[in-house]
This record gives sequence, C-alpha cells and structure tokens, in this order.
Amino acid sequence: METSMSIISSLKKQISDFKASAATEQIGTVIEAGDGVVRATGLANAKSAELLEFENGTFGWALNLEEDTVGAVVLGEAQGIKEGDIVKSSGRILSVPVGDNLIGRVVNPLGQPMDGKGPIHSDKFYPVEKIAPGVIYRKSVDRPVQTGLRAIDAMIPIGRGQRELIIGDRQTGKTAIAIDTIINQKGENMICIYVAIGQKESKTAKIVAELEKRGCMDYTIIVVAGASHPASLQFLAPYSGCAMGEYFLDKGKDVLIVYDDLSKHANAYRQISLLLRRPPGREAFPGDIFYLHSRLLERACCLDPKYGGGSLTALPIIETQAGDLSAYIPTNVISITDGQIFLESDLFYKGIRPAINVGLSVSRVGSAAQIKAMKKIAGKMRLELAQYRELAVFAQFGSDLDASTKKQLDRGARLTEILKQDQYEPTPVELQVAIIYAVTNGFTDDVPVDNITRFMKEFFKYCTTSHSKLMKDLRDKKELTEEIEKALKRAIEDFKVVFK
Amino acid sequence: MKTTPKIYAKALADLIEKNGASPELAAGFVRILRKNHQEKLLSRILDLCEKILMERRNEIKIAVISPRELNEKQMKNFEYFVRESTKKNPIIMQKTDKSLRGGVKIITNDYMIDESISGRLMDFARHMVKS
Repeated sequence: METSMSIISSLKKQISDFKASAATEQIGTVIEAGDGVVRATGLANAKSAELLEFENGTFGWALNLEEDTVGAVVLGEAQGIKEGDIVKSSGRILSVPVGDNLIGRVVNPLGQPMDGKGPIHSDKFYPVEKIAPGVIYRKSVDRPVQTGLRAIDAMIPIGRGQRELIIGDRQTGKTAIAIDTIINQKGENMICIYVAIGQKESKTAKIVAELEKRGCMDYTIIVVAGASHPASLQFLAPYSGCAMGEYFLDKGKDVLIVYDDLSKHANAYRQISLLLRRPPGREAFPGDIFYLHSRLLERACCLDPKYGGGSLTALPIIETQAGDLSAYIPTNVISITDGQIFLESDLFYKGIRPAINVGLSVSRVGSAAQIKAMKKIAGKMRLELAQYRELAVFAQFGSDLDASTKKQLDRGARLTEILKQDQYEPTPVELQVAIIYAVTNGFTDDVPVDNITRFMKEFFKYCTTSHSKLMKDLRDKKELTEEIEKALKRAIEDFKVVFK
Repeated sequence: MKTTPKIYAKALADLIEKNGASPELAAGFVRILRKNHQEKLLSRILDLCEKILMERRNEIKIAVISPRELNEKQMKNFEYFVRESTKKNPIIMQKTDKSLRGGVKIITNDYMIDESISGRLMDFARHMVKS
C-alpha cells in the first residue's frame, strides 16, 4: 500500500518534471457550433483527423478541411462551445490507449473507463485510423474460430482472420451469436473485443454482467458508445475497438472483434456528414459510406508468421428492416465481408434457434479453416439438409411418400433438431462432431424426432463422462481416423442401449 | 464556378485599394452578395479582406489580452518589440480579461502565445493528469 510519504514524493517528482515554457500555438475561431459539429476559421495547418482542443477542455476531431474553414465533430459535451471561442490545434492525430490493462474493462471510444474500476494506466497509444495490412503481410485463413454453435461450426465455419457478417431483423438473435462466440473462446487463447454502437445501455449492462458471471471478462474488452452518446463517439467506436485489437495483433495474438452494429454506425456517420454539409447520396448516406465500412473491415486479417502470425477476426452485425437484404448498407457490408450468417424472424418464432437460414448463409473462406473431422461429416450434412429442404416443400402437396423420401425427410428433421441450441450453451467441437456423425450415419433413425434433443443432451453427458479419452483424442487430433471412428461408433451403439 | 469567400475578399481588397472605402462600395458589394444569396458569408469575407489588406500594407494585427490594462510605457515597449521582431507595423488591440489572473496572452492571425497564469495552470493540470 502506498504511504503518504511515497505519494508526496511522487507528487514532488511530477511537479519538478513540469517545465513551463512559452510556446506558439496554432489557433482558430469557432464560427458555428451546434448539434455536436463545429466549424472554425483559422487553423490553416490543421491535419485531417487531428485533435482540436476547445476552450472548455473538450476535444474535437477535424474531419472537413475546407479552403478557409475546418469542420470538426465534438468528442463529448458540445454545450459551452460558442461562436467566437478559440480552438487550439493539438498537432496530435486521434489515438486511443491500448495494452493489456484494458482487458476486463468497459471503456468509451476514447479509452476512458466506464466501469468504475479506477483509471486505466497505459503508456501506449494507437491511432484510430490506420491503413490495413497489405498483401505481403497476410496469409490465407487456416485456423478455425470455434463459435460453439453447432449450426455455424458445421455449416458456416469461421476462420481466424475472417470477416463474417451476422445479419437479420431485430430480435432474431444476432447479438446472442456474437456473445456465445465470445463465451466459447474461454481457454482458446483469443482476446475478444465487443464494440456496442448505439445500443441501449441496459442491453450492454446485461451483456457485461453475463460475461463477468461466466469469467469471460478475463479476455474481453468492451467498448461502449451507447444510444445516449453523441454521434461522434458512435462513429469513432469501431475504429477505437479495432485499434485496441491491433495492439494484440501486433503481438502475434488472435483477436475476435464484434461490431454491434454497423447499421447504427452508418446512421451516426450519416448524421455527422449531413451536419458537416457533405452532399447526401442514396438513403441520404454520404458518398464515402462504402469506404467507411470497407476500411474498417479490411483491418481484419490473418498475418503471415513472418510478421507475427496474429489474427483479427471481425464479426460485424447488421440489422435489416423487414428482412430486406437489398437495402444500401446490408448490400455494402455483404460485399465487403467473407460471408454472412442470415437470421430470420420466421425461423426464430418457429423455435429454430439460432434462427439461421442455412440456404442464404455462407462462409467464403471458413471451410479452409475447418478441422478435418468436421469437414468430413459436415459436407454430408449440408447435402442432406439441402435435400430435406427441397423434399419438404414437395411433401406438403402429397400424402403418399415412398420409403426413401420419408427416410430423407426424417433424417432432415433430426438434423434440424440437433442444430437447435439454447443461448449461453456452447458445444465443444468434439461433441459437435460426435452428434453430427451419429445423425448423418443413421444411428438415430430409430429415435423419435421429439426425443432427439434429449438424446443429444444425454449423449453429450455420456461422452464426457464415459468416453473422455475418445473426446480428448478427437479434440487433439482434430481428425476422424479409422481408430477414432471405430471407437465413436462403439460409443454411440453403447449409448443407444442405455438410452430410454 | 462557385465564388468562395477568398475570391470575394480579394476583389473587395482590390477595390478598396484602388478607390478607397466608401459607403457606395459597401452598398454595391452587399447588393452582389444578396443577389448571389451569400449574405451570410459577409463576416468571413470582411475578416479575409482585412488580412489581405494588412499583408499588402505590411501591417500586423495583434491582440494583447491581460488581466489589467497595460500602461503607456508597457504598450510602447511591446510595440517596439513587435516592430523589431516582425519588421511590420503593428496594430495593437488591447483587451482585459480578469480570468487570466496574471501574465499576458498574445494573439496574431492564427497563432497564440499564452503566457498567462491561467494558461500555465491549465498546462500544469494537464501534466499532472497525464503523468
């Protein structure tokens, strides 16, 4: 514990370190202030994205450099800034504190703590805007991010360094998928960053509490620009979160970052742009709205081992209106990302949760990162589900079905059942492989569809208790070798004897 | 082509230099701005015009802000110092601001030298928070 003497001596040192010197500062004059946006004359040498300091101590972010004025957004309280005030140029480009001390903390987009756990000591700062790593620094995605969600890990696999969009209407479980993925990273040596943009504070508080309860804050940073924060901070939040992640990326670590959500981010940017009098385009978004998201998502990457070998996986979220995927922002982000997980309200209300529309969801690079065991069984599963969907449509019109069609329909129904999963209940990959193997190879054909969920839960328990060695082999080898397959078959048959 | 405040200011400065400032010139200039719906640019144009004229006349406008009014001797000393260091004719505007507590703040064009007590205290506070 610090004694009063040590406090006094450190204060003395701080005071003696202070060197007062006369310096010329570049200044400007505020000519317009309102709605979180300021226009100032002067500041002839201001740089793009430079921090400006107002008389009341708040900072601004220079975004528009015009012939004789500078347009800036206020990062914080705009009240108190009035016409005629002096605005100082700081010479600094906007940067945020980064480092290990941020782990476990809830911060705002400027890196200031919001969780009441005291100040964050960090001597390293990263610029919020940074050019994404170039081609020579990158390598293709080859390691998986296990989400713990059976439907995703089997059919829409995500690789480390990939950008996978989670898209769907409101209340379809988009955030739930992201949070489950964060929960499943426990012990996976992955740093997680959750960026809440324009979200209700109550929702964010609930997420923080849930992550804390499950011990997931030990590897997670939460960046919050809530609905009550100014548009400038909502605009800044994903870039800040990304900068915090890049620190770990540079250290060769794997990072997962969730942007929840980029629709609200685009709305915040539209507000700022209109106030800065930039010309509006489609849906009143400014012309550079595509670049806004592409430059952010391009920063997700898988680095070559020569350059540290770290990865930054991005899970952006987009909220659609009435399932309209052809709106401006959804189409933009779909084209930027390496695949999308499409969630549907209809499926959600039918009780299929996660409500993933398997037909519209795709992962463009993730299959290269899938473990061999999963790849072997998932291909068959995807085919069977596709056939099931096709047959299910035709089966509605006819009552008499031949035996093979009926069998395929039953198999599809069972597969659909095993893909249903409750929130906060991630499944380890070896158990996923075991259950999918059992269903796709017909071991569960004699189990009634209504009992499949119970069968799966009890089978998981059975595998972890009675066949822990087999599960460990599967987890470590990541492959369905002949020996493992034989043991798995035996385990399934043994379990079926005891299952009632 | 869009007429920017800089173009207007340059034109106005040329006219003032050529014909001298007159009420007719001012009225005519405002009429043009009104016709182009650019009346709200007037204050910016005048600021820029003032800067252009001062540069042409080798003048420099300096605002000296202090908590108390400077006496004649201090002003003369200051004027001499500015003339010697900038080689320009200074137009000094004196303002008082008690919140400065002591010292002086000098503002010219886009630059400021803050040698006031309140400015130093702000720097000190920033240093203490940072370290």
